[in-house]
Formats: sequence, C-alpha cells, structure tokens
Amino acid sequence: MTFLNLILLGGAAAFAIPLIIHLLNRRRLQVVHWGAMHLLEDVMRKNHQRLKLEQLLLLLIRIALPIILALLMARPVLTGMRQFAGEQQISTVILVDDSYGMQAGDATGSRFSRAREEISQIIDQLPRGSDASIVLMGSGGRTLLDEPTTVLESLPAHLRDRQALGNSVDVTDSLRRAAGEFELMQHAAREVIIVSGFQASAWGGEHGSGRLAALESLTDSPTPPAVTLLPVGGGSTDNISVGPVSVSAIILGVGQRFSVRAEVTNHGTSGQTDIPVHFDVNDQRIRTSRISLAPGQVTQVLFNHTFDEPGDHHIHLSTEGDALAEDNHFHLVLPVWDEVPAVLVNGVPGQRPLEGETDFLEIALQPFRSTDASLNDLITSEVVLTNRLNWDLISENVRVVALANVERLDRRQLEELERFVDQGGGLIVFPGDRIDTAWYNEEFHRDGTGLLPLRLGPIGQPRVQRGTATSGARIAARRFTHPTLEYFNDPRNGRLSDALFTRWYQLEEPIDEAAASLVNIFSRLDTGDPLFVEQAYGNGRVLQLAVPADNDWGNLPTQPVYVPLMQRLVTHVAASSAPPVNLLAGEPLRAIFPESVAGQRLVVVDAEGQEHMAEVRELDGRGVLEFTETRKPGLYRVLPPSWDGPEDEAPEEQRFAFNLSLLESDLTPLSDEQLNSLATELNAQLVRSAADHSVLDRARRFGQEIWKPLLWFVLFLLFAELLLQQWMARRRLA
Amino acid sequence: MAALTDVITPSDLKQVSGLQFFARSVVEGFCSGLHTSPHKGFSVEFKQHRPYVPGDEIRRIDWKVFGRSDRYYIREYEEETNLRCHILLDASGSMAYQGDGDQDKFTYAKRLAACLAYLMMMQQDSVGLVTFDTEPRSFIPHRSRTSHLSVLMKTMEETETGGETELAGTFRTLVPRLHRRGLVVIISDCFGDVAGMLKSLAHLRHRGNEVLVFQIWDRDELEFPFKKWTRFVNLEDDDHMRLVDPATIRKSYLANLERFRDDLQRGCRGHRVDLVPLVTDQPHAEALSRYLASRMRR
Repeated sequence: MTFLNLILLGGAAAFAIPLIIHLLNRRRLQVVHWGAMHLLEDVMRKNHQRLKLEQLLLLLIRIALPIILALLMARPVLTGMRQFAGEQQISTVILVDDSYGMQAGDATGSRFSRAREEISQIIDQLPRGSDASIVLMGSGGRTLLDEPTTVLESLPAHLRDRQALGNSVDVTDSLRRAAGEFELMQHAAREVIIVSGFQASAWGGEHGSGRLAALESLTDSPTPPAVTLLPVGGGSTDNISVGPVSVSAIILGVGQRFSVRAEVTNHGTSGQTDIPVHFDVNDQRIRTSRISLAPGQVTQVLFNHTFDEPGDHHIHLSTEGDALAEDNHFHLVLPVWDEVPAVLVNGVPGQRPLEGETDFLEIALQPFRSTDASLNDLITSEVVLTNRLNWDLISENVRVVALANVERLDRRQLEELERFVDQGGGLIVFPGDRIDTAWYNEEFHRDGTGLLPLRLGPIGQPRVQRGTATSGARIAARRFTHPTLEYFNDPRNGRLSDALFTRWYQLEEPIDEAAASLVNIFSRLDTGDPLFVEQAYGNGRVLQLAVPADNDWGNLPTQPVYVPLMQRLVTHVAASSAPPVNLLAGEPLRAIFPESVAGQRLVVVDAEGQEHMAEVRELDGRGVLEFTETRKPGLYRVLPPSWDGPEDEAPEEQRFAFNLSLLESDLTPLSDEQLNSLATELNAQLVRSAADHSVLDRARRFGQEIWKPLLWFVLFLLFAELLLQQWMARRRLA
Repeated sequence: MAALTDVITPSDLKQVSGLQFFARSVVEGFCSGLHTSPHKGFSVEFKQHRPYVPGDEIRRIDWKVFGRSDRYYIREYEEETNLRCHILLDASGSMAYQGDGDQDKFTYAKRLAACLAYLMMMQQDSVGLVTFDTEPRSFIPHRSRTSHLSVLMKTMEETETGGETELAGTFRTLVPRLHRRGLVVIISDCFGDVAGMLKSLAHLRHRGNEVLVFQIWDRDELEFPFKKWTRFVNLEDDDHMRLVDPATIRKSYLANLERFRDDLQRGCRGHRVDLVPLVTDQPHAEALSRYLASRMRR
C-alpha cells in the first residue's frame, strides 16, 4: 500500500485528542466515602463488564475516527492488484465485434458506432509509445492493420472506415489472432480488450470450450495479458431474418419447375404483421408474399419458379421493415443446365418392360419423357450394354455413367472409366446378382486405389428375430446432412424409410482410419450396413450402392421417393466437379477454369458492385481463382476470361452467393449474470465504458485507491458513535 | 411553651452541653405537646382492693374506701413493672457517612439514642446501652437512676465509628446478656446480611423482648444523586473502592435499594418487629413520636 498524500497521514496523530479528553474526564472524578457498598456492589457486579465495554467501544470509535480520516485524506492505494508499473507503455490488442448484429442500435447510433467511440477513447488514453492492434471478430478473427502499430491515432481512423458487416463472431479464432499479434508487440505489459454486443446466441454457454483453449494459449505466455470485457449492447432487440433457404433440386434443368422454401424468423419480443417477403430472380421481382409473425415465430415461405435459360441464376429472397437490414436478405445461386447426359450400362437386359436392370432407373431419371409429357427432363439417359461402353461413348459430353449389375469390365473399359472419372465425371455403381465379386474387389476396388469405394462382402439377409425372419431391412431414419438426402428431411418430400430391402451387399468398411476418411458413408440400413457410399476420385466422384437399381432385392424402385432420390444422386455426382457456389460470408470464393486460363487476371464483382482483380492459378491441372474479400453478403460474379475460341463455346460468368450465418440475428444480449460468469470464465474484468476502463487501467497501474470505502467507513463510524452515545444517554436518563 | 430547640439549633446545643442537653431540649419540647404527663409513667398500675387482714401494713389501707364503706380495704398494685430497655447503637464504619447534611448518620443515631434514654429515664424506666460494630464494644447494663443517664451520655459521646456492620454476629453474643421481656431498641443502618439479622431479631422476640429498629439513612443513600464519575471508597474498608459513572447505574442501584428495604421490612413485620426508617434530615422529635406510638400500641 502506498499513499498519494503521505504528509496528511500525520493527521492520524489527532487520535490523541479524544483519548486525552477521555483520560482527563476520568481524572476529574470525585471521591465519596460510602457506606452502602453492598447495594453498589450488586449493581457493579451485573453492569460493570458491560459498562466498561460500552465505554471502551465509544472510546475506540472516537480514536478510530481521526485515524481513518487522516488515512482517507492521505489517499491510500492498494498496490496488491497492480499489474502494470506506473506510466509503463503497454501493448494492447482490442478485439472488436464487427458482426452484422452490431449494426443494431437505437436512435443515438448503432452498437458498432458506440464501439468505435469507446475504442477511440481507450486508444487516446494509452501512454505514449504504446503499441496497439485491432482484431475484428466477425467472420473469423482478422486484424485491422497488417501489423501492430505505435501510431495510435491511425487506428480509430482505420476503424472509422469499417462497417459491422462480418458474419457471427469467432471468439476462438480472434483470441488466437490476438495471441499472434502479441508476438509482434514490444511491451511486457499487455492487455486484451473485447468490445462486443455480447449477444447470447454467439457468446452463450455452448461456445465455451474452444474459447477457453484459445484463452489459455494467450495467457500461457510469460507475460499474460490482462483481459477486459466492454459490452456495448443496448437498443431494440426486434429483428426479422430470412434464411436458411432450401431448394428442391441440386441442379436444375431448363424448364424444370422447382420450389424454394425460405424460413423467416421473428427474433424480437413483439409481433410483426404484414411483412413482405420478396422473391427476386436475376434482379427481377417475381413474387411478394405477405406474412405475419408472432414473437419468436418461424414461418416457411414457398416460391415456385422455372428457368428458361441455362447458366448460374441468382435468387434473392428479402424482407423489409426492421432496424437490422443485414439479415433481411438471402442470396442463392442455382446452376441451371441444359441437360445432364448420362450413360446407363445395363448388365442384365430384360425381355419385358421393367425386367431389365436399368428400366426403373431410366424412368426415374427422365420421368417426363417416359410419360410423353411436354415438360423437360434435366437428365437425358442412354442405355447401353456392357460391351458398348467405350471412351468414344463417354468422352462426348457425358457427365454420369451408371453401372447396373455389370458382371465385369475388361481392362480397357476400366482404364477409360477411370480416366473419365478422373477428369470430373460421375460414376454410380449398382450391384446385382450377376456381378463378379472377385473382380469388383480386386480390380475395381484395388485395395482402395480403384474406383470402387468399398469392398463387397457377403450378401446380407434380414435378421431372424424370435424364430421368424423380419420382412427386411430399411434405411435408417435420421436427420440427413448429405446434400442428396437433405431434401428428405421434410416428410412432405417422401419417406426413405418406406423402402424395404430383402437382400443387399454387406460393404466392408475400411479398418484403417486414413482409408476410412476418404470414403463417405452417408446412409446406412437399420442393420448398420452401409447403403450409400461416395468417394472422390480425381476431379470426379464415385457413388456406390449396396442394392441394385431394380426391384429384385427390394421395393425401393416402386416407392415415390425413388424418382427424386435417383435424380438427386445422379445430379450430385454430375455436379461434383463444380466448386460450391452458395457460401457463408467470409469464406473464400473458388472459381474453377480450364487449365488454359491459368495466369490470367480476372475481374471479380463483389456484392456492392465494386470490381476487384484476381489471378487464376494453376492447381491440379485446372485454373483456380481464389478471392477472400467476401465478408459482405450478396452476389459475387467472376467475369469470364478473354476467349479466343468459338463464340458459342465461350465460358459464361460464374456466380457465387454469400450469406450471413443467422447466429447474430437474435440480438438478445447476455444478461448481467451471464456477462459476469463470462468474465469469471475468461478471468477478465468487466467495464461499461471507456471511462470505466480508464479507472480500471489506473488501478492496474497504480493500484486501487480505497478512499471511497474509507469515506463510507468514516460515515458509518460517525453514525455509530452518535447512536451509541444517544443510546447510552437514554439509559442514563431512564 | 416554646421548646428550646425552636430558638437554638441542635448543632449549637451540642457545643454547649452535649448530648444530655440536646436530649433534654428535644424531649421536653416534644412532651410539651402531649396531653398526659409523661411523669405518670406506665409501670405503677392499680390492680384490685382486698379486705384487710391482720398483719397487713397499716399504710396500705385505702382510707378513702374506709370513709365511704366503713371497712378496711387494702389497695393492691401490679408488681412494679419498671421497663427495662436496652439501646443497641451501631457504631460501624458505614454509620460515618455524611452527605450534604449537617450531621453524619452516627451523630444522628447518637442523638436519637440520647433522646430515647432521656425520655425513658424521665419515665422511671431503666435504660442500658450497647454500642457495637462487628461485635459489642461497650455494654452498659440498664439502671433507672438519674445519674445513670450521664454515664450513658458520656459513653455515647466517646464512641467513634469503625469496623463493619455485623448485626447477626453482635446479637448472637449479646442476646444471652439481655433481660427477658425487655425492650430492645436498635439504632443502625442495618447494612449487611438481612437474613442473619432477621434470625437474630427472631431470637430476641422469642425471648419475649419487644424490638424496635430505627434504620438510619442518609438522603444520598436513598436517592443516589451523584452525577460525575465517582470513586466510591468503602467506609468500612479503605482498600475496597469502585470507580463508577453514577448516572449509568442509578436505576439499578435504586432498584437494588428498594429490594433491600423491602426484604427488611417484610422480615421485620413477620417477626412483629417495628422497623422505623429515619433519614438524617428528619427531626428527632418525629422519631420519638414513632417510638411512643409503638409503645402505646402494646
């Protein structure tokens, strides 16, 4: 403990005054020679102890008063909790939440603008020569400047240009980034300040473990930083968000009708009526639905549409009317293809309709053509016998090859098929009763280096339970995450578990972990055996099923789900070579071009229409363009490279949609209690403003001044003295 | 007739002729207000007439009856029941207390004893005196000679206070030496063990004595008027002292006092002992009237 006004501590000597008065009072006593001592003695026996105690207490209070008063005026400072030495320079990393939730606020400004003000004040208060860095927490941690700076004034200026457009905060990543920044900084005294709206959805309990691990990496250093939390909440929590959005097809064909189902959520505490939900396609308004939402309600809005032209089409769903506009939009890019040519290799042709191995599959892939409807099918299939499978057939624009109960391929066919998949084609393998299992396992699978993802085991049978065989195995019902099956999570789109299988191949799962990580078993039977397995092969993809394409081993082909399931499986493997086009804001944009384009610089148009240049690099025999400035949600376009070839073959522009994760849409901040427990968890101190921070900083540098509690204590003693005296006087009078 | 004390205060008198003079002035002043002469006495009482038989003294014939009835009758009296009184005067240390008044408790007690002795002597009663503290100091047996009075007065005047009050112990040694069926007047502050004292009183009563207790108080002891921090030094033991803020304990003290007096009063009433509390600022005449009143009741 030190004192700011040490001289005034001498005032404590004033304690002698009440003591002297007390002693003098005692000296001025009278002496009485008394006879009735026995009457007095009784009283004294009972009261003496208490009286003495009262007198002593009163005296102590009176002595304590001048001492504490002097102590108070000397301004004592507790140095026990001091972390930094005096005016020592400090390295500060400010983590600022720039997720879009920070755009919320009230009439005085958004949360982000308040955060900016507080940060600029905090930076103002840093001692000269300190260095500082700002880490933006939205869309994964990233730094505002390339490296920490000692030109402190530049930081608020840079921050002023920023808007809160980031995706949800990534605390773990931001803390790691902060640790990285400290490595570049000079001073031993360190502080991390987290400025955020502290929304419950992003900071709640379930995000705790990674956060702590990241914090440990920060505090494990020999000079662990002090951690301070500065919440900048406030404002209305009313908000409406659009998304997520699901589409009925993975790839659309021209003229194919599809539906878009969008979720609209009211995160606020008040009901909303007559909210418009707009459905725009390629910047043209197609339809507007009006809905009402109770507090906390989620509603689905369904739009149907058909595209007339192939290409990447932009779908934009939006609503309006609330304060936080960022999450009122959802963008979607849908690839529309003219057609997906597929070759179905029929291993066992039939004599009558639906007897052939591929008959059901053929109908499922082009249902409209089969029924002579005027509508268009996306997939155009050609059925061939095994011996007709050759390079000339499949190299011509074919995207998918399906093998149905093919006994075996000859060596040349196998090599051509491998080449086909390696270059980006899709392959679907249906087994059957005619296949040569030994060839499949040795040549086709080839210890994991071949096309076939898994070895074929024995043929599975329904389990025997209590003496009677069950009717068969079904697809294990669960929530599907694979893009081909997601569609069936909604029971309105049919139930996969209705299908019953009487026999199937028991596919052998690799024991080796590395090998297992290469294959994706995305659906199983309820016996636990794999049903659908996929594996990447070169630029293409192979899909293996445990059951045949016809109804010999089960009733799947006669189920309503068969058509959409097969359509989705085929379009999935067909589209496998194309990089994802619907992404989260902040994720990198990847566009694939022919190898010949590598080295060219192309134009990327971002969501606000600004043009950026990006270079196409050569990677694995393809030209890859990567663009990372995608924090702003919306439509991004990569304009086609200059083209010397024929005009009708010129590549089209590629489109990408970036959306916000909807985590930040719920604007409810952490309660005070939760904030306190968060502060405890992070071993941090909680301040409410830059002014609070400056008080805290002073305490950290010089120790905590304790004159305030002392003042309260003096007041308490004064009152105690008064009350005690009054009480004693009342007893005297009684 | 105006009493002597009306013009001369007892304190002046004390200087002139001491206790005897004081007693005389008080008693005569007191008696002047009574209708019956105190000289008549109580101890010579007519009992009955009986016929004269030869051998009776001629002088005991009641000639007035002979004149009326022409017969000789002898006039018979009760045995001469001269009152035997012992005055027990407490000379313990606590009796030395003097507050703001002009006399300490012991002086007041001595004077009271003197007045009573004088009064009784004038009534032809015989009076003895015992002074005591923890034990009897002087014992003067009762006599009814007038000259005895000056012995009593002299003894009293020479007695100084000292020692502790110990009535119970004193009485234990004293009682066998007192006559049965006499009057015992105790002048004391009665400080000390109440139960022991009451036991002694009971013993006295049991032997047929009339007991009258004058309890002497100083006004200070009854009201405890002290304000400032005070060191109370025991009059009976100089080493025993207490430093007290009197204001804080006054209430408890008075309650304690009340209890003490109550116990004593109840005990005395139980043994048919008259307890007469006297405060040193009360005139002695008042004490005498209480004495006579108590005598008349018997």
